[in-house]
Amino acid sequence: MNLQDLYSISPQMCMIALSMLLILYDLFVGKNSLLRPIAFIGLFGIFVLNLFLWLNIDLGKSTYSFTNSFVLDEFGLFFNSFFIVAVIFIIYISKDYIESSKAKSEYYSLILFSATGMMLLTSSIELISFYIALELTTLPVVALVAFNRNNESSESGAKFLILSGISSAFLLYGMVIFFGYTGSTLFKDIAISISQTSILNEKALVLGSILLISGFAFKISAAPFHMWSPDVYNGAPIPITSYLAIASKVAGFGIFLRMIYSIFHTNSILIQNWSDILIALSILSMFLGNLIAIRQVNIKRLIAYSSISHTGFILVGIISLLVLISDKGIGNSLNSASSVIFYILGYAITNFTLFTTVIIITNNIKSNLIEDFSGISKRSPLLAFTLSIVMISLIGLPPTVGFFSKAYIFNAAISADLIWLMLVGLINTAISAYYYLRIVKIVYLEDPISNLSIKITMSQRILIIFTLIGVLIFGIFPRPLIDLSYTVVNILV
Amino acid sequence: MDQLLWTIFFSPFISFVILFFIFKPFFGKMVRLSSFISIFAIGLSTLLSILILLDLSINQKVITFKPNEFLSVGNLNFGISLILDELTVVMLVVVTSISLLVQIFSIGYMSGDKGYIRYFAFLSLFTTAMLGLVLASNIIQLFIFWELVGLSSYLLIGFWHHKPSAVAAAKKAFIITRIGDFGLLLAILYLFVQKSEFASNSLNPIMIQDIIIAAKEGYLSDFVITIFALGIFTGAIGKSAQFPLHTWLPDAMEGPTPVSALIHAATMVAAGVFLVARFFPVFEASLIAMNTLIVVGGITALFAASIALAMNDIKKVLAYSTISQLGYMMLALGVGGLSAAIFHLFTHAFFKALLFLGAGSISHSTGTFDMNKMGGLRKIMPWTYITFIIGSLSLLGIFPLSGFWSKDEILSASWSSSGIIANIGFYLAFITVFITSFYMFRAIFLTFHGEFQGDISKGDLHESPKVMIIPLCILSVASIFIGFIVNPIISIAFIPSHWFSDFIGHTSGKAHVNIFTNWFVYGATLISFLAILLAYLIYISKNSLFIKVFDKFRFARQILINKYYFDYIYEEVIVKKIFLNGIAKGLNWFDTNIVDRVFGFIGWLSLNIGILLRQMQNGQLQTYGGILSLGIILIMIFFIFF
Repeated sequence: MNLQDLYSISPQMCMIALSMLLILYDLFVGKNSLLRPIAFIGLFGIFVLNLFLWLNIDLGKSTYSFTNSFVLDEFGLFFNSFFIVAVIFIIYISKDYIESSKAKSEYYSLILFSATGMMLLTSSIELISFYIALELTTLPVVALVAFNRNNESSESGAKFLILSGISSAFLLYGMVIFFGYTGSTLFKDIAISISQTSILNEKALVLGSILLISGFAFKISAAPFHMWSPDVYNGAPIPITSYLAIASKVAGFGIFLRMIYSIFHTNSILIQNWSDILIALSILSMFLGNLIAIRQVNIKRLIAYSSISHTGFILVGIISLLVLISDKGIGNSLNSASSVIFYILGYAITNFTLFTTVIIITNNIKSNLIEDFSGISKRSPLLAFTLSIVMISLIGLPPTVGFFSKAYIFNAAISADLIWLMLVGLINTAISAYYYLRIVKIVYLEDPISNLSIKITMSQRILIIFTLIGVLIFGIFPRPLIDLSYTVVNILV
Repeated sequence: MDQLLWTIFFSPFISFVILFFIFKPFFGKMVRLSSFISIFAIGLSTLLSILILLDLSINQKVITFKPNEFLSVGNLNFGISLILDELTVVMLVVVTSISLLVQIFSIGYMSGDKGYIRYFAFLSLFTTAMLGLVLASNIIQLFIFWELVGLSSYLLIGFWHHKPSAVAAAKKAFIITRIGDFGLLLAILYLFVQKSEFASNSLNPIMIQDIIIAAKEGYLSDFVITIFALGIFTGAIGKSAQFPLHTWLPDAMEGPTPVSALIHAATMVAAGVFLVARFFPVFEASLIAMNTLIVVGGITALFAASIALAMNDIKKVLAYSTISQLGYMMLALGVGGLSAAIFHLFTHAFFKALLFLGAGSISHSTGTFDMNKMGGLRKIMPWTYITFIIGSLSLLGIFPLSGFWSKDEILSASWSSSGIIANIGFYLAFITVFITSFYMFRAIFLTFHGEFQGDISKGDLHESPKVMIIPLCILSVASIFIGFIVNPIISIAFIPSHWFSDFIGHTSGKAHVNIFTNWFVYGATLISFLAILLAYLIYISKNSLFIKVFDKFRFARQILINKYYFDYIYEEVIVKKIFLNGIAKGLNWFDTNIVDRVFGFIGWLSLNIGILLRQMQNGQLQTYGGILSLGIILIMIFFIFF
């Protein structure tokens, strides 16, 4: 370990330091009102540090550290900044929640630990550090899910702990198989080894791949590994639900891209198998997520199923990049990879807006039932309008960022000659319109259950307008995001 | 230059964003500041537009800027880019300068209104849409802004949304113009079908420049050109309120009066004329399309002017007058007088905006638009009176006001054009001159002369504040001089003779005509004065003989007051009888008995699948773990053993 090594993971180190600081501060000083400002200032500083690293790396060049365990490149730095922004957002919207809970500093530091795990995850290129980062991501979230300490919340926490334990077991087993066949835990050694394997070993590698994929599929809650998500989303405090739906899921897709481009692209048979498995998962996720979402009466469960179906859509992008790699070579998959990043960004922006609105509404009406959203338009026109724009973006209609997300994913599918898969996606878009627009209908056309107007504080109003403009402006000028997505994946290819 | 144009476009857009998303929700109290932001933004655009006009008049050339890629799906590329040619720059100046004056006028007119910020935000949005429309270099962009113009017009007509009549008028305007837009959309889609013809000449069917080249070089068959031109014209008929889709414009007067001046007199309704002018070479390539322009334009001119004779609402008189003048422009385009049409568009924008703002000034004082409740206002509102007279004389085409030069260009163009249809067009236009003079002076006499007839006491009447009078004066000056200055018959100072005609018309063959050699120049002035005299005898001196004769035409008045029963035919016969009871009933049967059953079944199926799948989500950890493991095992079996 030398200074260069520390330099390359300095944002992650600072995150750890910040969460330690918050706990110690609470322990020794105990002035709760300052925790939030410290967290914000610290995170902002880390964001700037991360940006500084980004500006200072040589474009198109990766720096390896800790004997090839971690890598410093644009891809990792992009995800670092993504998670930092996500944590800032989640702390911002948790204000009311934290004020009502007893353990304040723990809440902050647990989120920060988990985010650190994600940041390490997308930069790690070695199996053991990868696994440790993955567990660091998951375990603090278990505590956060159970943070309310009531029956429902604890039950969710226990479910999440046990199910993620099962999936980790599968994942570990898959990693062991790869280690056993290649004799190395380093991604690049594995990549070289699997490019030369004989036919006999292929079956074993396919088995290993299946186990790995199911581990990842659990993280991104793709069907049939999705069962945990509706229950956990529902039981968790709602800011943590948004953390699971946005950050945790995006981390899962980050791993997918990293794994494919640093290991599996060398073996075309494995790539073939990956895309076949993912096609099954994708179609299953889209249909299952959308069809069950139709019957949901609880907004949190609806969001859970809707996010399962979005997983299916993002998988379409990953499938098309796999097909392109095996058909036309790795260089031609750039478009598809960037479409995945673009969808992730669009999904995140839309969901930030969605959760902000939903948190304000549910806090006010003290209910998670969709039918209690009736007539919100009369109680708060801003919230109703925002919610409608979000729904339009989730369906994927212009002029919102959701439209371009879907357009680019479908475009990727067309360029990989997967027209039929695109049609499946279109059918699912049509199905999803039903339950998304039903919310708009309830919000606008039905009579309000009470005439009290919903109070929105100035900081909430700013956040709503800010995110709403994000949803709309990137729905008209998507170019900056597209350029960003290209830069990010360029290093992988 | 590219950046300059984008600045012109973005300046009102940013003002809209600031007002609507920042001021309206957060600083609802800072009304004055919000109007200043809006006026500053549009002022900047106006200044830059004038600079570009000066620059372009020195070195005449068409510039299309490199497209910025926006969206590419498969092998279809849409780029966003701007076009700068003579037509665009004239429209830029008209749109920005009228917007500027109207916004200044609105400070006074709208003061104290609850929706003050919203009003200025929408005005900015409208200006943005209009600028986007005239700057668009491809038809997709053009169509987007075309619809955005329609939307902002809808928002502004229905601005006072607590008034049911305003809401109804907004809806009517939106729906009727939509009928025209549908034709435009079909025309655009029809071009996509022809894309192989374009591709074989390495042209792009969405770029306007390429369409014009294709039309000029004869790459497209006559049939295709005619269909395309007629589709474009359908869009123009809707937007420019031409016969038979004219019925929305008089109702649109429910909006605030400055809005009527800006949108429904000077700019948006001129968008239809602009659209035809933009694709003028396409029209020139088809005789049928040109003759359609003449027929529709001529009929509209005469027919709308005749309805204006019987209207008692001063804004409705002006609305029908606008329709009639737009008919003139269409007629001019039809006889090949591109420069005459755009010249008239240019001068008309100023004097019609002046008249509308004058009407606004009157109602600001009297609180009504009903001319039967006015009278004798000339002493109380001298500035409004004088400016209104100037606007009217300009509209009549009295020498040497602006309207004279443009209107006589149109008459000359149609006179010198050959063909029986063009000749009929000329006479329609000539008769309209008489009617126009009569209805305008009828309005003036009823409003400003005689005794005050209103309900409120005469002491409450007052001249409008300076912030409203100044725009009126500026527009009056423009209404007097601008026609002669931009298109003089002899070169004055640094302006060459016939500058405007040459500027617009240098691409098409038809150029200037010498105005004073034709009989109808004198004839038109003569009949104008006859009409004024007639109006004087009936409404001022109340000559018994003339009133007696006038009363004989009561049946004709009845027809006119009912606007030739067009609203009745549309609403009662077409909508209720044919559409609602005929087509809709049939479709409804099909929908409930066949479509609904099919979709009901699909819905039933997906609901039940949903219920079935939901059974698995029973909250039991064992089930979840089991399904998870089962999933992995199934995948393994499938991929390893098959």
